[in-house]
Amino acid sequence: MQETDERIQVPGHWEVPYHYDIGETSSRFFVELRDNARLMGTKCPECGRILLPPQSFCGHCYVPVKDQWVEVKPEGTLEAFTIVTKDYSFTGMPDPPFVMCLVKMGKASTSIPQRLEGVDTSDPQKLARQLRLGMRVRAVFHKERRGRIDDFHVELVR
Amino acid sequence: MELRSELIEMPGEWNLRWLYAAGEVGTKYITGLRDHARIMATKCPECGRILVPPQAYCERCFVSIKDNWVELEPEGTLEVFTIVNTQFPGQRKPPFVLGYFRIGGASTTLPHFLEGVDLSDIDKAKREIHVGMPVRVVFREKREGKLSDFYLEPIKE
Repeated sequence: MQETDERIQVPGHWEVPYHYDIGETSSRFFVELRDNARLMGTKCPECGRILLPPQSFCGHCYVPVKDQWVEVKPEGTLEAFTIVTKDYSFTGMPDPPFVMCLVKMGKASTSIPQRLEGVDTSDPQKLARQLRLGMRVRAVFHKERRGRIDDFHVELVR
Repeated sequence: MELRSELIEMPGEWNLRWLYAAGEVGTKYITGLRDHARIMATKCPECGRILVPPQAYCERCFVSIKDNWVELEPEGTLEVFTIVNTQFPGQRKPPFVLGYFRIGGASTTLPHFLEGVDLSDIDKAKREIHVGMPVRVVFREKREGKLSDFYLEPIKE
């Protein structure tokens, strides 16, 4: 057989739709988000940490916290961010450029990942210089809510 | 605060696309299908086993066999099979027959589709298809360098 320099790449494709049973505690979080446009966390009675998204137990103290609900103020600080400029075609994500961030809301002890909107992404380098950790952000709840994490986004408090 | 009774099932989806590098040996196997319509295997000079899909080395004898090519006769037997009745996401529409085939005296079996069987009556098809059934390799007219450049069909007696 004739030798060849050709190297074959075989394309593959997995399409995996699924349903994830998010349980009692997370269900409460999403129901509150959808029906009442508010952020609900759980608070550990031992260490006082406020967990958002809510957990059913405290990972530090090993005590159940699933009935210790507190409302978390929809305002907080920018803890981390990244400007996505390359199209990775992540399922459910918008076309780049867009900003993903971690925000600490209200008195929560934990950060949640969320989309940062209302910023000019046309020049990502410029935007990267403008954004600073610790900046104030607020949650903006959408009019139509389905009980999903994209029922709200965050924007900078000017 | 009282707990609401509603429990949520969150829908998710993974949609993954990738390119798998077939490597030197895999490339020769695939270009053999595509350009020459033949099934190429590698043969171990120590134990004599014929491996298809071809391997670069014999994992029994630990010797390199990547330059030891043999062409397989495009006929063989069905070794095991299942009739798939369920639609798997992104996969072909059922019913279809998935089998492992021993082709041209190879020492290994190859997973592939068995075509040319009437599947309109599954129970009848189950009686017609049997382990040991002689099959032939059928190459498609248009070959794209994919494993699906050929399929298997029963040799009617």
